[in-house]
Amino acid sequence: MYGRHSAARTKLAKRFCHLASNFIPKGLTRMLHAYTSSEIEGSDFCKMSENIELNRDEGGLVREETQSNIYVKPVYTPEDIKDNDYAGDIADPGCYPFTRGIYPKMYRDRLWLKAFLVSYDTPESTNAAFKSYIENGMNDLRLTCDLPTQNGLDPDHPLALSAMFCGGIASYAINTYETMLEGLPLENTVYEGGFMNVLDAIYFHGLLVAMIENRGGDISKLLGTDIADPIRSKLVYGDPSWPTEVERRVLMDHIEYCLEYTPKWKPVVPNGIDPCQAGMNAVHELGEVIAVCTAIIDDFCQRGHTIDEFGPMVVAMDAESDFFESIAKFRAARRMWAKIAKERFGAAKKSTMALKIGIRTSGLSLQAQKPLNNAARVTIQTLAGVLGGVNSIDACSIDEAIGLPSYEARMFTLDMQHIISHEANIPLTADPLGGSYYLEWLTDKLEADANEYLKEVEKNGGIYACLESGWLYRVMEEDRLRVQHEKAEGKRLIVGLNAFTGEDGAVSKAIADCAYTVPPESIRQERIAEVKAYRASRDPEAVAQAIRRLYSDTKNGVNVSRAVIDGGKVGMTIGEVCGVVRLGYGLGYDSVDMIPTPDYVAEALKEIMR
Amino acid sequence: MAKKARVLVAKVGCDIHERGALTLINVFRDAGMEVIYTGRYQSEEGVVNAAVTEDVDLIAVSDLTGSLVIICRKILEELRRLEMDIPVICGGLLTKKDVTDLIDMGVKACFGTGSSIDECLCKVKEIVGM
Amino acid sequence: MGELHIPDLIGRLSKGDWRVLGRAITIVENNFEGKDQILDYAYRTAREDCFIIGITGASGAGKSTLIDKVIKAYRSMGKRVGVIAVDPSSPYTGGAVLGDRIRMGMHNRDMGVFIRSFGSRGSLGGISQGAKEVLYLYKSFGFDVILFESLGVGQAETDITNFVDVTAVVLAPGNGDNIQLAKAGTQEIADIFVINKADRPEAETLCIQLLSTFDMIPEEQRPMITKTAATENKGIDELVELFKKASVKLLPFRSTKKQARIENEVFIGATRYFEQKLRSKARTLAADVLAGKLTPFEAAVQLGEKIYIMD
Repeated sequence: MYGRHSAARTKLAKRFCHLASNFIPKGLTRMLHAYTSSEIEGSDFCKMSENIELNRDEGGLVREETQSNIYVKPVYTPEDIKDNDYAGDIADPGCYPFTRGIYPKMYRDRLWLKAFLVSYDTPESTNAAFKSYIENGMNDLRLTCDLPTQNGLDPDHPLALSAMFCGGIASYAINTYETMLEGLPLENTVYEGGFMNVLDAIYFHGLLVAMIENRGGDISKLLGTDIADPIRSKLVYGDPSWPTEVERRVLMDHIEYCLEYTPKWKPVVPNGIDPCQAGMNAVHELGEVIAVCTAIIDDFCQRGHTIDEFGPMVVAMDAESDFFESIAKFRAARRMWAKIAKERFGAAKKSTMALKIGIRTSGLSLQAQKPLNNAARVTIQTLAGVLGGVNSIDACSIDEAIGLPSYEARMFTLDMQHIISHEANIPLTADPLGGSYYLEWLTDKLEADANEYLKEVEKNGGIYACLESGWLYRVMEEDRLRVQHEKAEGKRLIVGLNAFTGEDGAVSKAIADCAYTVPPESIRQERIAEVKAYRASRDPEAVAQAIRRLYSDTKNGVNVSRAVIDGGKVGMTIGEVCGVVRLGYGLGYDSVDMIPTPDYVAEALKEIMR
Repeated sequence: MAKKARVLVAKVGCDIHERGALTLINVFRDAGMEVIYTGRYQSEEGVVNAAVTEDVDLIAVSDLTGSLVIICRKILEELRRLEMDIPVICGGLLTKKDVTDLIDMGVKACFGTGSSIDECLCKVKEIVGM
Repeated sequence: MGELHIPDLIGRLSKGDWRVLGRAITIVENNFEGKDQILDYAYRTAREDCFIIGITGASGAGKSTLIDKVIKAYRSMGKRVGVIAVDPSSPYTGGAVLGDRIRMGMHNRDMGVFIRSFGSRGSLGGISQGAKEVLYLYKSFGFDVILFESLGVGQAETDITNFVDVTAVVLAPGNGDNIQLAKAGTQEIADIFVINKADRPEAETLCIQLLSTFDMIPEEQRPMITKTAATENKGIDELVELFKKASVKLLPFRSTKKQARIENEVFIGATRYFEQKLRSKARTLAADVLAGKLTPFEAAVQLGEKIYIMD
């Protein structure tokens, strides 16, 4: 290594520069880089490099705590978990309290669902993408829509132009869904919708029901979920124009309808992903998710039902960078919910107490610098999900920090999961890390801390009250700021960001270049023209009738699900559905107060509103 | 006495991601500026009107939907229409072509998602004359 | 717009050009050159028939959301509305996040609404001197209603009452307001108490507590109370009615208020004038003190007697 050969010297000098770049101001590093790339044979620099001493502490650990600031000992022993009762606290997989998983053989019987959100700029290209991903192993169809649609705005709303196609497709009415899902089975296929607003979720579900009915199928075979969590949309996106009261009521309507007509559809999925991405640490995310589950079942039971009627709860959680903490979090979640379901709500059926967990890997952890590194991050986080015994995994793609995922990046996420399953043999046995001294201790610790947090929530009046008063938001902000400080002070190292930085190589640059960019303005204008033409092509009398029905059902406290489904059938757009429900509550038609009630809506409601 | 620097931080359209904008707001405040935040769900005309009534030294647009070219173009048009000459900078999801287009249009600086906060603050101080 | 000649600016103001109003406010707020001319013009052309409402209250009470709805109500009546929104400035960095506009964002495109944000800039009362002077500009520009939002409630806040026709104090249940109520200042300044977030169960308790503090006050002088739930858009029309009622009730006091206000302005203006003169003289004398020629107390008296020429 210290040889006279110039190639070896260059290599050494380059390594010195790389190490040095952590400590030396950027300008000097650049100079060193420049120096190494030029001819250095026989220079003073060569002589300098022969006396280099490698610092053995270089790259040592800077943390003693998990990502959520839980102190971790250097070694864990049986002493740390001696009070654990296997049968009572941990139990076999498939047995209460389901710490080790909700099925006896877990992945041996059936692997986890692999999915990610699929939405490209046109319904046709989305449809093609779906078909191609399914051939490559995706078995859960996740639909999303773009930001304006998620806000309940049609493409021709003044605010929609700039955000159109961000995050998905502008799917404003049943026509887009029909094209997107053409040739795909509607029954017995898992569909999931990732929406922000409860009303969006009910609309999406309504359209699927409408489409099945139109095809003459059996709506009770509709399978899937939508992420309709009113707490997280308020907490993370803070939309003051949708009163919580409206969302809560619509959610309950949706749940009741689903239980009766589409029992395989899970109408609500408490979501810990977005609060986590917005800053909450693992303990608070865990507590928040369990608190939301509790609040929903409380509301549900208040309408006169039992938890067993509701059936199993599905939650969405985040697989964060901290490997063991994420695994412990999932195990603790199952144990906590099982206990609450049994002790607080009196669940009798085993399936009711078994919490289904769907995860998304952490988008926040992805870095735009050296995107190739994201492959390692995503793989580790997915592995945490697998070892945590979750039921579905939505892994991010490596270019998500740069733009929307390219096709190849998407393929990688699926292939990576195939490698985990079939090459690494990880899913052969259930909960393989069960019994690990560290993991069992960490699971207990997370549960204990989350329970403390839940007590605080109860003391402050329940999760809805915490949301209204801003307490929940403050907790999230504190966590976020703490992380920010740690990053700034070098107490939390992020490769490529504040440590081990370096230039992007050719591969990284290619990844950046292939990331999918948003469609140009011309395509957006096309959508605007299209929605206007679509409205004109509908049967005006049928639409007016549907509007009247939805308005009166909302006003009279009747379950709005049927009105939404029938409205969807005759072509009511998402903007119209949201607007009419708002009118039913005495609010303005437009959630951002920019356009007045459209003429034809006002006309249709003229008589009733008098 | 020198005028206190006033900066308007704006978010146009349905972009819900606020964290970047909120971080910047705190950074500007700590540097001694008066920072006015429009909140989300703004239209371009609304942003420009706010900038004029608040007589700000700089408009900073934040957007993560990849639409900064569309948004800044409209904002600059609106500023021209009102015959007001307020410098505009932008930050968020940007491709290399976006940056070229934006600078050609008259935007003073662009900061992609990986940019350092210090860089941004330096540039802002330069523009507002601190 | 570039650098504007002051007479041009005043000319455009008189034609109702809202674009220069922002600039004029900056000049007045910062004591820039041209301020005296602008204020002079504003004072002479100020309309007396505009209705000025002061809205104050602790943060978290929902003032800004309430103001947003009140603006909407007045706009639906066709009134032009001007808003002065004050937020605290950091005493260390001098910077401020002026975030009241966030809740009023829907009015940005409405040409009938003009919103300007101010930092408190070290003023104890939470309202900078500049913000008070800007009121003249608003009155001259022709707004029908002016909403003056200020921070917190405390002793020094009492001076807002002289600048507005009606003062409303906004409270919200669970906000620690019970302690605030006990402070003398609040009751004296409030013409109307607005209990916001009235959909909460504790709102009723707060109302009762508030009423009990009125026992000491003679009936005709008691403040009015109303309840609102701003985010749900409830109680706003009633509040606007109450503003109207209060302005009628307080009409007799208007001239006293005006007297107090003018007196204050003359006083402050004169103080500012003298402050500038005093500063340099004090500097010279300080050098003498340091040189041991006299004590600081002797220097102060010396300076004071020198400039005191009033009879």
